[in-house]
Amino acid sequence: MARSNYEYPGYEASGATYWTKTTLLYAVVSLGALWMTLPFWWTLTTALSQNPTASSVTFIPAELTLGNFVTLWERPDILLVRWFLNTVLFATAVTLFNLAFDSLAGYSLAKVDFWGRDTLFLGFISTMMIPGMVTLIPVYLLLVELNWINTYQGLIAPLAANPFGIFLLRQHFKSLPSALGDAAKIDGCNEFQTFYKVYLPLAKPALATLGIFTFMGAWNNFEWPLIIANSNEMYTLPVALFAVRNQYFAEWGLMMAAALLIVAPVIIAFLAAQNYFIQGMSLSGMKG
Amino acid sequence: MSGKDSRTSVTRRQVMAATGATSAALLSGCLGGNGDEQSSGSGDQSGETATDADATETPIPQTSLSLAGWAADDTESELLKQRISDFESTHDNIDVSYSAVQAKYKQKLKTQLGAGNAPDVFYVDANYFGSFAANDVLLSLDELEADQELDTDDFFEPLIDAFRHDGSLYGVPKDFSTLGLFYNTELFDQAGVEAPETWSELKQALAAVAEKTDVKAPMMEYGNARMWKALLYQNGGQMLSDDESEAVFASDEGVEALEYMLELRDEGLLATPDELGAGWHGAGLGTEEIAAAIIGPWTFPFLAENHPEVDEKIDVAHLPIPEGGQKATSAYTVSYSVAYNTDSPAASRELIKGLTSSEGMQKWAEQGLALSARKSHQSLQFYEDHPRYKTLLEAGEWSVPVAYGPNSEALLNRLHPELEGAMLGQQSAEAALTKAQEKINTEVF
Amino acid sequence: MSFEESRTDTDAESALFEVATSVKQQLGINRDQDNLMGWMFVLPNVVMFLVFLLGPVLFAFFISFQDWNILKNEGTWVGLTNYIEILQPWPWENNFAALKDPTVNLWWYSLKNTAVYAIGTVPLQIFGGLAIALLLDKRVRGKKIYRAAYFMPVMLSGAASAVMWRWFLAADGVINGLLEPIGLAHNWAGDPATALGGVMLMAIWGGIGSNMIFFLAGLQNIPEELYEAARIDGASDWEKFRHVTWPNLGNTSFFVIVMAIISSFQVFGIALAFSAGGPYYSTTTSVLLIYQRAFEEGQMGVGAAMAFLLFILIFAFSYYQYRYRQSEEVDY
Repeated sequence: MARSNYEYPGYEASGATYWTKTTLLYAVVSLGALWMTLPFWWTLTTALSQNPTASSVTFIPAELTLGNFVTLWERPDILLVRWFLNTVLFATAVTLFNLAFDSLAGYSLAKVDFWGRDTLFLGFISTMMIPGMVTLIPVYLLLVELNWINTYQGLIAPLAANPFGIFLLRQHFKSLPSALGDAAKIDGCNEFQTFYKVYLPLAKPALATLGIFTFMGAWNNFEWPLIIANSNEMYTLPVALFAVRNQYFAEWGLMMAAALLIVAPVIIAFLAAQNYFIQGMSLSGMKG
Repeated sequence: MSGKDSRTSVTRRQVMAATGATSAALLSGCLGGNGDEQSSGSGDQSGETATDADATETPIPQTSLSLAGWAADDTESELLKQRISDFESTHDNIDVSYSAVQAKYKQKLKTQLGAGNAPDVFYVDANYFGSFAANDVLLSLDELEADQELDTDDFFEPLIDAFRHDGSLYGVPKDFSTLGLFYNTELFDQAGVEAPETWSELKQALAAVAEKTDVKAPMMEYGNARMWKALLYQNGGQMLSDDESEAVFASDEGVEALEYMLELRDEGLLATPDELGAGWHGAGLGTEEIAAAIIGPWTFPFLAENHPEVDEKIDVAHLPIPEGGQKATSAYTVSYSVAYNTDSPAASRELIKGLTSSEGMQKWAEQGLALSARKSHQSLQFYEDHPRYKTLLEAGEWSVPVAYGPNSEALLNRLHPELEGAMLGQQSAEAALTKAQEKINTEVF
Repeated sequence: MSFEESRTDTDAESALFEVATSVKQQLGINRDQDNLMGWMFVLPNVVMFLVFLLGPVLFAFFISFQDWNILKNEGTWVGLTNYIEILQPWPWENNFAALKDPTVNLWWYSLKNTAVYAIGTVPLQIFGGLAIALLLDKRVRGKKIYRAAYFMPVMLSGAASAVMWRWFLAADGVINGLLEPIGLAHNWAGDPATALGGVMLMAIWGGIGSNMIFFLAGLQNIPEELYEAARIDGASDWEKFRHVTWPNLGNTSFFVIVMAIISSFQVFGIALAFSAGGPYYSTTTSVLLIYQRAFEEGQMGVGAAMAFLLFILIFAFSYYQYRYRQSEEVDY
């Protein structure tokens, strides 16, 4: 933050008002933060309780046990490792496809002067207006026809391109000087080499941002795998959690243990690379 | 008190899966089966269509069959695999590959049928059998009707009739479950009451339990009032008209049955799992938070595994009936059926025969996942040893499969929320049923 | 024209362009080659879009006029029947009974649920996000920790937060544990009157963080001099917000509001995982109804028709927002 003291609350106010304001500020922000984080605490304490009741888990759990995790691990219908690997595969593949396709298209739309380019770009952008649920049914029927229901390719292919990614990368490539490419061409690079050797390395920050954003979206995607994955061994984590919820309803300790296992990797990743996540999020807001 | 019919190798989930009843159903209200029980009486028409009588004599060439069903976990799959290897050992020329679908079986099967790549033989729940049969995606099994060895006359009529459509047989029941009154004998003793036989006795018994014991609620039922369907038939009503052309459940009989349930509810004698914080009836019985529930045999393995001491106290009675009413209960049943486009119809029939023959069915039923669909099995030693199962089995005779023709699923999807609305006090019994019936008759039929 | 557009670069670069242009000509890199390469590069995306987006939209439109049989994967033409059955009876024909009683017409009822959800969540998500962003934009100690705390719910899958909140709001759940001592315990998730409120509470919880991030980014872009000038003019905190912050957040808030409303119209996963549309249809949103009709009952034609109706609604809304914004911009 480059902002100076001017914004300091009550900078011009007298001492008493200043302290009141500051206290109030911290009180509001802290209360809100408590509201945001308490559910995570409750999830943790419930997951660690054998017979969770409202009073036993609200603040300090009465008893601590790993019993729920052991139960989850032992249940033959709970395929934690498989679900985790499915989700990793799904999210990684979706991310790689998006990065590859979107950077090609983004580069081309920014740096290659080809016939119909602007119309095409407008076309891509306007598809952002199409709500996902309109295509849910026809894409499903298409995948039925292709025999791709309940397969990895069925999960991944329809998510392999994304107009937002194209938009983001086009903006980024546009901000890079065209002279670089011209120079590369003088050196004998063809268009693809120019893209791959000159511009792509310069787009790393944008690619990282888009990658994290896409990966997170796929990791958390619930609706699409819900429709495409029909069997236990094809589930990704969010769908699996939904299935666990239906199967073990009211066994809250077990459900929260399952929820925690799904949530934990994301939270750990987030806390480790907070800035990337937040940057990714901000960039997605910039498109407006 | 009943004998011990515990089978600790079986978990609740297996059993629930075996009956097509998952606890998810309590929320989504999709517990129901469906079928077309009104086709009873059509059982003797097989002769007309069994033109292929020599099919069974023609030797079956070397064939591999695919068989799909659901199984909640490996244990259940293993049980079926044993049955399949029994079959293969007597049929050298048929090789069966079995795949157990652990989750959205119905959706998966539907898309496979739509894409034309369904397995040769698969489970079909009576609930959606009607729509499958009406859409011609199943192969007629009329040849099996004529088969002396299979003896379809031995099946409980309501069950096998649930898999007939337009007079032809399209599935053979693999097993079934009925609803019975499960009650905690110790709590009933404390309250000084016996197993009730009529609706009013049930009410009195529950009131006594509420007063004299410290249960959270005497009885539990899902928000979608699952047992109402049995009460409707007990009271002389029916779901569909005789020609299955419209829903007629909003009759006086139906309204009275639902009003009876709402009475129990209003007096605090009947609570939903949601209110009690227990996932389903079995959990409530196991923790003795409730003293009674109307539920099926899938509860036994759960109790035996998770609450063995309480299990000893649980007994099963036939459902109480209204004064002057008739015996009735709901049945949930599943068939083995064959895909219309199978390459090996003869081998498929042979497999079904092997799995549902008297011997095959006995071996399967003795695993305790569900009940044998064969009448003659009532005299099996297994059922003598397990009287609670026997009570539920006897009810097969007067059971009504939860299966209401080709639109059964759509019907139940519209009925259950209205029943839930009534159970939640949002509307009267009459309003709920009238609205549901009207909606179903305009949208579904 | 890429060369024209790139003229924002430095003088040195523009000098290079001219060199490059002539080099290009010398090397024989001409428009044909640009056309070929350009299209080659976008080809994967074009194919994906045709196959998984544009084609499907047309196909969805087609099947919305069909009685689609999932068991045969084919349909029969039924004209406008699906649309008529979804929409009728019109709400005004029966004094808007459909808005109170789900049985009258589930489509209108689900639309009401969706609207209630949108109205109840969007403003709180936005103002909550803006307020927190403004507070955190000041010099707050431990700002990074606060920011992480507010952002944590954003990281969750809808399925996970729905399952968690279902427990917090259960009859024997954590929140009732807090409310019991003050006599406010209630079966929040099990009562048709409050279940949708539970879903909304969860959505607000999960939505504030992302809006906060958008606004924080927007605030960074407001030039410091504007605040300085306002301070010299003796503007109060409120005046600074009203005349400096808010107008300069225009793009951000337009984007945030439009996105929030569009996504609130499409809410479905959390309602499904929270309470499967129940109790008594109280959390049946429009897209959840589409999901149930299409994927649980197999009525693909009806589902597609509903999806189109919602699409029209969302499109009309976005267009209106866009026009409104354009007319506003003229004033500046």
